[in-house]
Amino acid sequence: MIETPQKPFSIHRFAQHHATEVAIAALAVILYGPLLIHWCDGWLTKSISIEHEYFSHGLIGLPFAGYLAWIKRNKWQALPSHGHLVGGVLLITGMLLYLSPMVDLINLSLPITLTGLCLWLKGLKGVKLMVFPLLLVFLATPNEIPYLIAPYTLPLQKFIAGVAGFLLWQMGMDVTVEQIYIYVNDRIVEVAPYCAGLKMLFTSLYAGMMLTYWTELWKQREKVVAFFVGIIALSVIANIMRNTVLTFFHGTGRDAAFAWFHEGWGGDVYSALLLGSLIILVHQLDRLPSPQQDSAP
Amino acid sequence: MNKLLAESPWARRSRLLATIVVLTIAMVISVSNYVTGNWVWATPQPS
Repeated sequence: MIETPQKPFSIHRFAQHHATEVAIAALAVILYGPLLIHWCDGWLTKSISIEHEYFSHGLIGLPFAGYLAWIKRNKWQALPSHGHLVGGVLLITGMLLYLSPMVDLINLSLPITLTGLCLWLKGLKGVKLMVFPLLLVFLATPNEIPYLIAPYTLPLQKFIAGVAGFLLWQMGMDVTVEQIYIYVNDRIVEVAPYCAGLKMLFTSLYAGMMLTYWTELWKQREKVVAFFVGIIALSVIANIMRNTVLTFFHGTGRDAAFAWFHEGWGGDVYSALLLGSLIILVHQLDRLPSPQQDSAP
Repeated sequence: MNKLLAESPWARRSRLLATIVVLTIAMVISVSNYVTGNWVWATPQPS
């Protein structure tokens, strides 16, 4: 068999052979580039609404989705070009939402348009291939769901306030806990929904999903369940510690330390440590023998 | 419609061109909204 030598990759040749695909990609970038910049700028500078800030995990998730889509490009090209009508409907719906005057609908138009494109150009097989990157984009799309969830976090807020108060009392401080308020030395700390760690829980679950995919842990159901239970437990414990430290700083008049940990880079260090602990957790779970291996003769 | 969704090179090309038309229309409307000041981002967003 004679092997044909592979030609080196050329942008010019690629653009010639895939002119229409390149044009679609360019139009998508022109349409959604400003929106993505708006999101990233809002997440980084906190200039976006507080509900939309809950989706700042998109800073890691959206590039990861783009990377996954890129490495799947050969499989994408190899798929039969059999379109699906629903894809066309989704594409037009996405464009109508994009042109609507409501910010949330414009945001939602991104995952809808991308799903529509996959379905319209490659049918169900295209969506199946790109399902995980599409899921990452969908779950990083800012919307008002955190606003709807926030009222239901009251029991968690009370629990965190109670445990943080108990820990401070163990340290010999004069603490009173009322509902979600912790009183220390005549100073009050409110465990607000945002402080209840809802945002960090969202981020942790999202990062956990990425890790589950990356390490292929999703193939072992028991480990996936253990991992996500571990994520929730870690997130709640870390948030109790965070609120305890914040109340300690505020109650003892250490205002600079409070500001550093509450809205300064101290909070970023806390988030990084929590996400780092997820990597350790997934690594430890990965090292455990799987139940199938245990039961094997 | 089935002809358009089929696997033939004609159908594939037609779908790609239709996609370009739809995206271009959206882009033109969006740019004209921006030029005429009706762009959604022109109004301050609640923070």
